[in-house]
Amino acid sequence: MAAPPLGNDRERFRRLFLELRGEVYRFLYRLAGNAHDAEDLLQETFARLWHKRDQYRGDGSLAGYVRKIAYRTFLNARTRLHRVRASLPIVGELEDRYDGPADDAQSRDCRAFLLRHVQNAVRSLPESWRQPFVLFRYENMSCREIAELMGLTNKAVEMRLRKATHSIAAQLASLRAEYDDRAAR
Amino acid sequence: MTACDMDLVRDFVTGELEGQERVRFEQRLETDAELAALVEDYRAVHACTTDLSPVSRTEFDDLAIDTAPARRVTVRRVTARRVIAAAAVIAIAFPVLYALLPWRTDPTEARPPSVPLALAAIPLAPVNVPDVPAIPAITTDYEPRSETGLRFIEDLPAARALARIADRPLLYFAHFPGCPICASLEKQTFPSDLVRSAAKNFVLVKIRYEDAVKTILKDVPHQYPVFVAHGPSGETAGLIQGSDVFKLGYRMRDISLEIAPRTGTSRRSWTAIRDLARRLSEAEASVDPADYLSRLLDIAREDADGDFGRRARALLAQMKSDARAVLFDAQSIAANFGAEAAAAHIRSHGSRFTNTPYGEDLHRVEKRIVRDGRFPPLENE
Repeated sequence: MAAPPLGNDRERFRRLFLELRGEVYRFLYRLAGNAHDAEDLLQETFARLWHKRDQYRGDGSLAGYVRKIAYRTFLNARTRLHRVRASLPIVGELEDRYDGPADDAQSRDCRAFLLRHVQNAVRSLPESWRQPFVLFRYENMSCREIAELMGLTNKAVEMRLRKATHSIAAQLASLRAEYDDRAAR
Repeated sequence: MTACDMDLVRDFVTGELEGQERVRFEQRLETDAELAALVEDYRAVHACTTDLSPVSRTEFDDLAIDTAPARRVTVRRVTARRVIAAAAVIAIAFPVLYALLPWRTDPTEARPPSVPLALAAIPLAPVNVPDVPAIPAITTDYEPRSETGLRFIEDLPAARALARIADRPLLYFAHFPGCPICASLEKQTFPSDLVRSAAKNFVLVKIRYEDAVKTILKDVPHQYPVFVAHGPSGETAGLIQGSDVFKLGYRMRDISLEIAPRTGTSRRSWTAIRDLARRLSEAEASVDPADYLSRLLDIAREDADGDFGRRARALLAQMKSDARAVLFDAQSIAANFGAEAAAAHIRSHGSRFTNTPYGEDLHRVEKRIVRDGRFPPLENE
């Protein structure tokens, strides 16, 4: 019987883990919304990959195969994860607006304010919108890839992405006005 | 394969759409307003959702994979003597260990960092804070009857709010300042027992005649002096003309009987209304969080369907929402500035909830942060 592409070699699997760990972790982090769950899911994903290594036949990319396992791991754990939903810390734009770490209480206050509201905008999306949005925005997946992963039609994915976009944009519009007012004080 | 519009929108916004495809897309934007709006929305969303995910700390050795060959486990026959000996050891050892172990008052303290901390009061889900306006200050001491006659309100918005809270119609008195007829009404008509008795069923408003003819008396034929009664929805419920005591008193009584109370068969007394208003005002002014919470809970229970209860519940929801905001701000701060900063944030902002269930939740979170050096996973009980 031919050896499976992933092999039985622990050392080889270790190298694979080190190569894909970051990418898979970020993927799970965006879905789960917090570091603790993402760490747990990462371990489960690779443990599952090891135990099902003979099912991978080499068709399609390995990273794509691992991502599918990661997504299914997330779906299976969703009931447990729903009890503990923290948020994505989103800091990129804030660091563009400040020269460095804030020293004064007001700047910290503005930063905490933005963090809370921007992450709430994503967080407050219905789950059926949030997942495709996270995959589209952060994983750079196409509508077709998301549809295949989630078992939806292209049209359904497109509709959900549009709704998510409009919803976040509306919340950000009022957030910006409030933020500018705060920063001016 | 044709890309869906969202793919094109993303590529356009990120500058990855090039050549003929870009030209075609730009042509579409000129005629398709919905698509153009989607592009603008996505541009804003894309700019504000840059993500910097933390790095995983999981090492390969953490994975639960076992590549060693499986062991064959054989069951040995164990003699009865060995079973009895083992049971005896357990029976002796267990009470000794039970007595020696220091019992913790908080069993959750023994739990490892990955076990979620259960919150008793602060919800993880966003709190809906209803928008309920404050009760007007006049509610704390309003009584339609003064010692010598009647008491009129001149602040129209406050009077309307009071009329809704007290579930009473409004009675407008259109007057001229300095008018001798009005002076006569004040001296002779208003102090009468008949008029004062009927007045308890109204909220009395004094409005200048020249304003009244533009509003409540607009296109209404009338003679001066004139009183206009308005029902709960602002509809005109009656017009009373002249200064005759009996006419005014009996007509007021008839109008108040025609307008049924909103709920039940009788209206709350002015004494009860003032008492609730004062208690709510004292609660709102309380600086002790436990006292504030306790007073609001009492009012919410007593006046479950009324305006005071609604206002109390809105304030309670706001308190819960504020506690939740402190919690999630601490979480953001922990993620970006470290555990110590998060704990300090809770200590400084958590004092607003001292001796309340929210304060207890915040205190427990702070303890866990200090113990574990990170923000704990959370769940609701």
